Amino acid sequence: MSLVVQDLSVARGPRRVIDGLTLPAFPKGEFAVIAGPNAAGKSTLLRAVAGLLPASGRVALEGDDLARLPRAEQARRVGFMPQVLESRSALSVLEALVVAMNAGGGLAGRALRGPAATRHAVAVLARFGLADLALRPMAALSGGQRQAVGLAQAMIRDPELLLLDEPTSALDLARQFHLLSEARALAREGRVVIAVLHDLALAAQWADRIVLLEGGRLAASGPPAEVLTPARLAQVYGIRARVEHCSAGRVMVMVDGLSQNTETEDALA
Amino acid sequence: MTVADGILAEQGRRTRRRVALVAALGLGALASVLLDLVSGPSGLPLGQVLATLGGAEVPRAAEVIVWQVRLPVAVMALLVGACLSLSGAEMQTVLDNPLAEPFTLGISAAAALGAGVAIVLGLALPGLPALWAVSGNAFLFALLALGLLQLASALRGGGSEVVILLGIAVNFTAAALLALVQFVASPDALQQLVFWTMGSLVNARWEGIAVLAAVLALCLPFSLAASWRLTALRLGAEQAQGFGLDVAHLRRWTLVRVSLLAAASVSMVGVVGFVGLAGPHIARMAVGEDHRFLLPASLFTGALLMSLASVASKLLVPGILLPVGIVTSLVGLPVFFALVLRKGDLR
Repeated sequence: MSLVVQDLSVARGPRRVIDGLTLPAFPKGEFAVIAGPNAAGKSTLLRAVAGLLPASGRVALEGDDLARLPRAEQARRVGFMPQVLESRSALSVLEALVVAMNAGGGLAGRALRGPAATRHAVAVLARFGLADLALRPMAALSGGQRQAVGLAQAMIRDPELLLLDEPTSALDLARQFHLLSEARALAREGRVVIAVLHDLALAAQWADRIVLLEGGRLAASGPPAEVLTPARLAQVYGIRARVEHCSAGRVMVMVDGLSQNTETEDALA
Repeated sequence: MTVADGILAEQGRRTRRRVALVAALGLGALASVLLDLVSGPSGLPLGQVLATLGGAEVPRAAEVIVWQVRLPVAVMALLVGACLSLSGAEMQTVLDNPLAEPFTLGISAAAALGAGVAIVLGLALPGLPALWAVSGNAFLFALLALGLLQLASALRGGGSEVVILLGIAVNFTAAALLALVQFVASPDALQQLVFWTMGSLVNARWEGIAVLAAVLALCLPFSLAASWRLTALRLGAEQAQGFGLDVAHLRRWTLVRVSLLAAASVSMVGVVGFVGLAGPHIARMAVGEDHRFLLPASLFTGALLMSLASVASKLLVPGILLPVGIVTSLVGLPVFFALVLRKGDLR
């Protein structure tokens, strides 16, 4: 038992972006990836779980209904890294981390002050190999560095649940590897870590479980080898794909072209 | 020394530098008030001014000049500058727009319309002494304008673009209505109204100073208490929400504080542009974006700017007291642009 999502619905205007979604429970220690075509509701699901969107249904962490927790308590237990990270700020990386820690009420409901706050932030930066950026202004970071700092910001309060919205979109291959291995390691330490990823190759390589969404509904959920099948990829993405089984039970997806299924193309349009 | 120790030492150095800069700005504002007290047509020396303030035995003329003429003007300048600059700093942060200030969001224009209604049409709040009719109306109209902005922000879920666009609309509407009021005004009333819209400290009275000081004393603790949250907003609204902030709530209450500060200032001295815009920018160049330093720095910078403008308004044309609103814009803007161009970046 850890993270439970039951009968979750999110509306944007008249349209239901997520429609009565119930997911198999996410156990602690698991690194899950949410995948699906554009407009499937991936980011919306993540943001609803983070409590950033009004939603109906139940999202419970360790049995506690997140929507009923005070906002500060919720933010302490749930770390969220948004897809778009603001980078015009003149704050230094270190200051941005201290702000992330203190703005919503601090580590244990109290703001850490002065050197203690700085020390904690430096320790978190060091853990992610970012200590050399500590005194750099946020506005001077590259897109990749900004994303790496985003992960550190989401982790600063040591949350039980970590939600990452397309955390690798600006990263090169080495940094993708670094961030995703870090995400999986953070899960293994006893957290639930959920990332939205567009890249199915990365999802297949790193995820313990893939949650595949289609039109705000669950298309499939399970280990990559079970979820990623040619038939399902044709159905959900409208592509012709081969799925190769590699060592250690991992799979690789290779896309050969668009599927001829007109029904799917209509759905995409 | 480890890497962490090095970072800690550097961060400590930066913090001490900011504290020193905030203190320097505060001292600068105080020094400028003294300068304001000694400047004027009847050249009182500093020693005599200080003696008068200290309650020593001085000639009756000096006592009147200091206590009833110069000190109210100097203190009013200090308070108006502080209030406008603090409200500008908070506005720029919650609306995520470097151009936001009471002037650009139509609050000053609405206050001017209120003043016009009192001066020209003779309509005022019932029960208010005639002396306060203009200020009372200006305050009411400024609050109405801010109420409209609040409403828009509430209806559209706290988005900053809507607030800014509506602020611009309020600005133009109030200006047009003011023009209409001016069109029907008698020559005497028109002259009075035009003088009011130029912004002037000559009518500063201790009662007005007390009202403004009370508004500042009411708002400032809440502003300072919100400094972590305001700093978090600089990292983007979505990320701030992820940190556990209720961004819509923060925007709403900040706009309430800002409204009170701006409406009270403008209603006391008329339209004074530039201070609410430049104060926060100069403060940001000095101490950065951490609002624990930025808010006090903005407060002091605004006080300093307005106080210097008050001095300049007496000295620029000997024997003539220029309206301070003209001075802030004419003298302040070139200085401000020089600073901005040197730094290159408004944010």
